Amino acid sequence: MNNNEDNLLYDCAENASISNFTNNNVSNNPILECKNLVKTYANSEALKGINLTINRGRIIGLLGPNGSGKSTLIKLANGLLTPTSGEILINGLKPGIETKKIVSYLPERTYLNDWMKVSDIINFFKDFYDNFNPEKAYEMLLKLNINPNDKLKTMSKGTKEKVQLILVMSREADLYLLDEPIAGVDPAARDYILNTIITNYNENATIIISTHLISDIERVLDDVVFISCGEIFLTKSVDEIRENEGKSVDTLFREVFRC
Amino acid sequence: MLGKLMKYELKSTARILIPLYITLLVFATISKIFIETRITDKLHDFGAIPFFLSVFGYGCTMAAVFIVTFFVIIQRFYKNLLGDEGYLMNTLPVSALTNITSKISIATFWNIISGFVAILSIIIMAFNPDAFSKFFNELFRALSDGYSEFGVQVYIVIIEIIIAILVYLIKFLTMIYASISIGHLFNKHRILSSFGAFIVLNLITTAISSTIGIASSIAGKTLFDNIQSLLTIHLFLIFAILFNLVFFIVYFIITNYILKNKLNLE
Repeated sequence: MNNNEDNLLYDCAENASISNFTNNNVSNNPILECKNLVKTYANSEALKGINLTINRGRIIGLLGPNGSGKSTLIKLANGLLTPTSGEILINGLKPGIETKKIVSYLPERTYLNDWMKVSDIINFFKDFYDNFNPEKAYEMLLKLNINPNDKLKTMSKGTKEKVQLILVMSREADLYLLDEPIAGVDPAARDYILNTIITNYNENATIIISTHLISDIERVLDDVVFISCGEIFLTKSVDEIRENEGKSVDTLFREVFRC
Repeated sequence: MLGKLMKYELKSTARILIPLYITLLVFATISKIFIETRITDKLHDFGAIPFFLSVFGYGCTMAAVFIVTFFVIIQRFYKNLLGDEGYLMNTLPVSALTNITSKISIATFWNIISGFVAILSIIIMAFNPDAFSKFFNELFRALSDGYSEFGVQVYIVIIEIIIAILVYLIKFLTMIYASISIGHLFNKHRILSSFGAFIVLNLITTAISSTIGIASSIAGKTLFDNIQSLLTIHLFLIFAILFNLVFFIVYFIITNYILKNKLNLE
């Protein structure tokens, strides 16, 4: 194990709570930082001044009930929304060309052209993202029985979601932002996809998964961020929750957000 | 990156427009065959129906070419950058500037092609060897007459006219994009706001251009009255080019600013 990885492990152990962590070391600066991030829509406040720091090499569950601000946060990180005030930094930079190179984003909706074939879209990704690995994409398509020559028009919603996830996970990115990646996918494929997620990224990359299907993804998570009504409710490592509270993340979530 | 964006933009628009062009040319050819063979003279009553259908089809396709070109240009900008597909296009590692440039260049390209295809279809319909040779003879004679009278100036004027039309076209397209972008600033009724923005921008442009036009024609009347040359035309064309160029730049800056700094996808 090289020095860099040692460092990382040390940092993670020292800062079990992933928030309030700052490190000036350039190679190990946080991958995502929110400073007093506020986003208001026409008549509602989606994010109410969020402060959050997310480090490299973690798999993080962004958990919260519907309408809690999960998608808003992820869209802000991608520059698809403009902050009302405060700022969001990726690798120390505001969302822009440089951050888009290192962020792989799975939106909660289909963004692909209906008339394209899967292989066309793979070429599209290859053209625009230097870190896209087409072999990996074809391999995953084969595993999930998706024909690269099929047009998206002929595919079911779940299959389209699989294709998008394959595209996103075939990039060697520093930060993966997955918005509801498994919501529309059948449980069998869910397992394969989760395994793909945890085996297909390099150790310095961070994955943020937003979902409310907690029990399904709990086993892959390192840390959780609970978000509720536009505010960070809690940030803890999964081990900490298990040790200190003696319960699973799912149980804790149900308790915290009891209706 | 611009080249790649243009390649995909071209692909996704060609698949709609090319079949339409082919349809138009086919209808033109069929109508022409009907006319040429004078088959309608021999056929009576119901026999004439296919001929009328083909002419009717030609007319409809001709209208469709321009409506669809216009619609595709708007739809590509609105859907591809500000709709669901915007989730992909705006997370590519390219600047808003590059995205807009690719849209404008391909939209301009298709406008020109639509114009050419329309002219081509008319040529097919009207094709007649004698009339055509006469037409071109006249055209070249007019050009050489102009050349002998005004010299190379005639060709400069023609080039200026072409540039003026191009710049006007680009300005018009950018005005549409700016309107859609301004509409995007609103939280609700974005499409309606875009229409409103288009009307306002159009009014402003027309108001300024007619004010300058009237003012300069009054000022210019005494100045150019006695000058026997193409200078007035030159000045007018160059002014029109510069005027539209300025508006194009303003609209481009508005569009780029909004897409770069005020993006809020639903």
